[in-house]
Amino acid sequence: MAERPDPIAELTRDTRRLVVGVIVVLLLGLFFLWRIDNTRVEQLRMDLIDRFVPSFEWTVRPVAAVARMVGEFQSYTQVYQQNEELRRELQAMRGWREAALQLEQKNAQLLALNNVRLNPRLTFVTGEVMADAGGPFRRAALVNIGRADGIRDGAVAMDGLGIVGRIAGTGERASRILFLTDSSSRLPVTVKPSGQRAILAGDNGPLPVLDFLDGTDAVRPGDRVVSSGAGGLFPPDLLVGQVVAAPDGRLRVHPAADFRRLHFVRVIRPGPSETVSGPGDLIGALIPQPDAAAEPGQ
Amino acid sequence: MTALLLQRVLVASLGTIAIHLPLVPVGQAGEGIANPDLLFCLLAACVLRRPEAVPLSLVLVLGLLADFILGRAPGPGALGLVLATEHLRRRSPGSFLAEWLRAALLFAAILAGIAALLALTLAPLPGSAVLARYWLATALAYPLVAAALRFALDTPRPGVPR
Repeated sequence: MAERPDPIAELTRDTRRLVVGVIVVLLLGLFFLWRIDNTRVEQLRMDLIDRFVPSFEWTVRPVAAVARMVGEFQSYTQVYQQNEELRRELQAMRGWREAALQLEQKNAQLLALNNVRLNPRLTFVTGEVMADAGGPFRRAALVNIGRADGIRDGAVAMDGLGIVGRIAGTGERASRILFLTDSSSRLPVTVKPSGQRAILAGDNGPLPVLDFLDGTDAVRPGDRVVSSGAGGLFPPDLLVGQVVAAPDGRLRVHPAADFRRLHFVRVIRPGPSETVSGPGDLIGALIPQPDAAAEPGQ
Repeated sequence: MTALLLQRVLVASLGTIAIHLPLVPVGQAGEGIANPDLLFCLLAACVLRRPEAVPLSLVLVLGLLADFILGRAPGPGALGLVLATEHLRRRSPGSFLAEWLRAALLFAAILAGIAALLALTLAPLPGSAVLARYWLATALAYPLVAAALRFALDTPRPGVPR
């Protein structure tokens, strides 16, 4: 290019500048479109991921397997102690299992006596984490289950123990989990022994902040934090983690879910839930008549 | 001609790999060490060595793909890559140290630009410590990527005539 005559070089440079300028405007336009019409662009993103990421899974798998093996190599050196420890734990678990079985039998008897109606069971789909879409700007992961498996936006995702996050963006066979720790994640929670409500707000760090807590006196580090179900997004009483006091003086939550070795994730499909709409009729202006009081309310 | 085409295909496939590497599900990125932005390292190093192997359209497509797949805000990352490669395209790097410094400063400028754009539109921002770690990881990864490219692109030295 350098040995070409000058006018042509000038021309190409000018056209190049023009092209770059157009690209700049288009990209800025895309960004603002994302800020304005987020859902549509996010849908586009999910469609792209749907198309690209599963086809790359076969390249990602071996790398991930090798990395895991390296990461867990140190645990092989302690296999013997671990084995002993596991045996002991297994023994203790057997005891608990016996206790649980007895309790279950007792419970079945009591239920039979009582003819109760229980809440509709939560059903779940378990998927495999196929990609970490982590980075400084996002805390998220991609799982290999999507709309085809009945996954909806906003469904809660857990590992075996605690809440991992919620589904934000579904494709046909893939969906994205926005972690609790992401800075745009907000989750209504209850701090367990005291029953105080709070909002768990992620800040892209490992420990999300316990926000909007009224009165921190009753909350102590070590308290269990469970989802409160407020807002109807999440089912209540799913384990989130434990309260810890951070060095910056704020109360934070150590998530029960192990984000470091997230392999399988179960996504809960809430059953069709009954909602109570409107104010209660009983507390209204109606004064119950003596004979109407026996009538069961709707 | 075929050699040029081959180089472009090579850069494109390396770029795709660089996008997908952070997706490998090994623990949670960013808690201990941040994942470097390998795509930036790759494109910056390539455009300094073989500018004709990294056409503008390729940078645009790879940048957009990275923005979409890695869950970042779509647009600013690609914009940063396009502007950075256009800036580097006309330079011939002197020593490697100067090249490294330039790349690191450019990446800091990109991050600052993205953060400014996000802050301006009231989008959620990562903390400055997280960004600093990200920058540091990318700056440290740059020499490694450049060294790897020396084998891949068969370039004897940076700054050899185009």
